[in-house]
Amino acid sequence: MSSSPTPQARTALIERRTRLQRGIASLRGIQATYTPTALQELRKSAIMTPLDTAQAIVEDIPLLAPTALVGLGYAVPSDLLNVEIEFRHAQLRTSLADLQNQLFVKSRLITQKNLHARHQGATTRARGLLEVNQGKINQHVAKYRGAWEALKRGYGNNEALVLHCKLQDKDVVCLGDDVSTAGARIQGLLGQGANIPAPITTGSRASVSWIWMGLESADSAALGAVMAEAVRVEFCKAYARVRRWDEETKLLVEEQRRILVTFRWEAEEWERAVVEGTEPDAEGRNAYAHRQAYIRRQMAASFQETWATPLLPAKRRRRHVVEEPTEGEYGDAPMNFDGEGDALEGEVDPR
Amino acid sequence: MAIGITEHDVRNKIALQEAKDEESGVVPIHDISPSGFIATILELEEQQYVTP
Repeated sequence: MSSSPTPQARTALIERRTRLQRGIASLRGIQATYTPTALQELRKSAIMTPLDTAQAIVEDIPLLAPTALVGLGYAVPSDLLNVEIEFRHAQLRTSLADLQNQLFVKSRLITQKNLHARHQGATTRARGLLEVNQGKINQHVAKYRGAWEALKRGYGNNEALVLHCKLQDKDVVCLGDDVSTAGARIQGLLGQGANIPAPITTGSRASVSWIWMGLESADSAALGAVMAEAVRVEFCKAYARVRRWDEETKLLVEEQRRILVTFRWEAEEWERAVVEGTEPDAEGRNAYAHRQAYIRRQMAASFQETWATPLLPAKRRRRHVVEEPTEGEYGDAPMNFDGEGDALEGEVDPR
Repeated sequence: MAIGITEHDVRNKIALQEAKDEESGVVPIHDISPSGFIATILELEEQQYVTP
């Protein structure tokens, strides 16, 4: 809850606690029939903890499910235990799916906030939405962990029998999204000093958390066999990104070539303006034209020199192999940047 | 997204089994069936996780 709850929120909390209290009270009645050892344990812990501290918050009261009793060393009817184990496995599945969902929402909310929320009002509202969403994430994480721990106890503390991964804090991450990875890329290009917000989520270089691979593939044997839909989406995005940047680099090389060609052509145009004549201002006009031509050639030379040094250090440079689309896949022929192009006549007027 | 067997599926399956058992003459020891008992515990547990 936020630091200063409204009376409304406070009432909701009290009501929820009362409902929970009543539910637990009626549960104790059923436990008397099914697992009397639970009541035995409760009496024991009540004796062990003094009365004033026994006024526990209702959220923290142990419910003493069959697996918890097994963990405490009590005997529990095996059919009850099996029913709980079956339920717990289902809980792992649903909580993980819910968690994926909520994390996806989170990444979208962050994108939305970064792109569109400006000034205090909108930022606070976006923050509030994120906070609500985070509460739900925490809830699903708690459910997964609770179910996982219960299964572990149910299988006699043998983690291997649970078959599914333990959920660590580092596993609870969103899939990388466009905004964050673009930030990381620019950061890489401009160096650490560049003032670009750090990526919020795992970048394109990080490996994807197992939670996105789906529960069935969590054990290493089946890993890779099943790929969650979300991962496929992420793959497509990354692939599209690589393709786009690859095209960008090709275009850049062509742009550089054209710049040099243009400068050379402009210089020649200026030199053509030099006239053999005896008009009174011929000398001045020729000097001006020569100067202009000289400037163009200098600029071309300086660009050529700048471009000769690579932008990235050698170890960072990678050769991306991107498959060309097969002909006719997109209905048009691939662009061709090879060979000397025309010098864009008529586009630049030097005079 | 396909997530496999959910809690509802499990509950449904076990409830069917329990109904069949009762038809064949098994006397229940409580008004609430074993699966209902476990489901109650899990529901309460989820309520404990709620962050306001």
